[in-house]
Amino acid sequence: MKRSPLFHLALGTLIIIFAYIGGVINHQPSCQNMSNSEWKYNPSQIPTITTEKTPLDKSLGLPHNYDLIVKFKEGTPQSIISRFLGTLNINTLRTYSEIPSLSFISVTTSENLTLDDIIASYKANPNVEYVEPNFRYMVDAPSSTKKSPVIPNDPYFESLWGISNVGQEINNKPGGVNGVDINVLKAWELTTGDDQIVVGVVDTGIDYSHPDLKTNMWVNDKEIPNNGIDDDGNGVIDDVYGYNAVADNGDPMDDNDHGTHCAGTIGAAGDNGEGIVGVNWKVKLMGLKFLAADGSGSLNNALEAINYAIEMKKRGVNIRILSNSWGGGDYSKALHDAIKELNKQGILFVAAAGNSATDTDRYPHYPSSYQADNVLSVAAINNQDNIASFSNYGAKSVHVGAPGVDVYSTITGNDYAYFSGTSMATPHVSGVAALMLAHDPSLTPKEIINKIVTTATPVTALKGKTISGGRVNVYDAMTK
Amino acid sequence: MPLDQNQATQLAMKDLSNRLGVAETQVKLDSVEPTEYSNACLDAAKAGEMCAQMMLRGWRLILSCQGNTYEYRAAKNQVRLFNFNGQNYKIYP
Repeated sequence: MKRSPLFHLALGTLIIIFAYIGGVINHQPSCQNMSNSEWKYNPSQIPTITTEKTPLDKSLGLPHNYDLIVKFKEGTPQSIISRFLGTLNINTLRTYSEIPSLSFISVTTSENLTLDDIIASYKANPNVEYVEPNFRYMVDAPSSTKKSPVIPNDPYFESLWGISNVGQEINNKPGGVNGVDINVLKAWELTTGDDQIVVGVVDTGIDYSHPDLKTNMWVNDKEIPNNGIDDDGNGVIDDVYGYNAVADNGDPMDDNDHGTHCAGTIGAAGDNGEGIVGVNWKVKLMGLKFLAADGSGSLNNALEAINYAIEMKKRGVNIRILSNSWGGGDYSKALHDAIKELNKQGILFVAAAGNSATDTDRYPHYPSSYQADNVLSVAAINNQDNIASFSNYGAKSVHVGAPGVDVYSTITGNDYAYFSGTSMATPHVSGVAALMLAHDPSLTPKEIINKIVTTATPVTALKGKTISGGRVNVYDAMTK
Repeated sequence: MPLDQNQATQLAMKDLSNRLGVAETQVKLDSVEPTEYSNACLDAAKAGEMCAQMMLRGWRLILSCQGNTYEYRAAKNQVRLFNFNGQNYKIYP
């Protein structure tokens, strides 16, 4: 990931601050004394300040404020804590009289530093035990939002049992089982995504004008929209949001709903006060349309879509994952070779196991059954941890289960709907892989698959039916 | 424009009369039942065809003509003929 010189300058400034706090550099007298604070801890008084950065003047590139909770290690001398709180770019908002060494601070810093950057640099301080964003608490939060402090404000959050299952009613059906989800709330405490990660959605296209998706659409900045010219010389005119292999043009607008639904699960914008949230609050979605309006497609068009992804990867676009909620046809050496080529480019190929309730160890389903180090096959489960009645399975050929029944997500026309299928399980896992890469961009496709398989939550219904015997667990995949 | 059940039925009956070379009046609609297919090709993919893997609500249409029965499958965006002389056909769009 390339960073500007300004980023390095700002990061360097933070490091100096911590060297200072850690005693490496001689210090000045403190200008605040925490022990004199009159504020008493009271949960009802936790300010509802967003974790989003607050631009003071984005257009001028001026600083941002971030609100953080910092806990110093037990035994840290008060003088060091006071020196930290007296640093020029830190404003102490609160201390907690009953919780020693804990401070609520506001940090002013360069626009080029993200919240994750700042947290990482603060964690590097040997005196800091932990640092967290000032998570938003909702006074009247629905029951499904109470098991983690990282809750986005998207109004249909409670419909997303795959994200957070507390047994709530879904699609007018009785509730599921508490905890049967992908465990992403804990993962969001580490990262909510990275807009440097590009996920290609090989499907019916994406409604790139959808309010819940448009901010997370990949944009080809080398192409001038609608000028009728192939500005970047890649052979496709006006390919701003991706590629349409059906029409052989640069407009991957969805004319079915399926691709838009999958895209929303991967990366509908989070905490934007709109609709739903994807597994990634921020990510970049590339539309790779090869399925027509009726949801069917040909081998040639699949190859064209994959070829476009490889071409753009070679041109420097950070495509790391292709999400493939489709299947059919017999074994194709050409498609197998194309997937292997994707692997050479470091692109993970997540594929739906298929909906025929069939053992793919015996009856392969393509592309999910192709043997390659970058193919990750996904079965569907429901909100009670049962394998979906329609889902394919395979103790040797299907890697993991993921939510695929009554999944709520974006569809065309600024709308939302429940869909079911291994099609819906697949983007959950594609989203998981993207979040893992946001946390650790160095992961290879093979490493991602290995982590997902070895950290899956064991599920009785998936034992002997998948390689992992379990349901994808993104937090564990990121931390174990 | 999405198809409704009547439009899907009309398309199926017209296709069968053309396919068999008989008048449309000789084609009878025996039954229509709502059903759920396991993929976007209505579980009636043509050879080599690839399909979105989502469950899809539609209709199963049973037509008859001259003592033989024929199965059409339809959803709001398509109509297919299932297993006609061993092959599947997409007749709409």
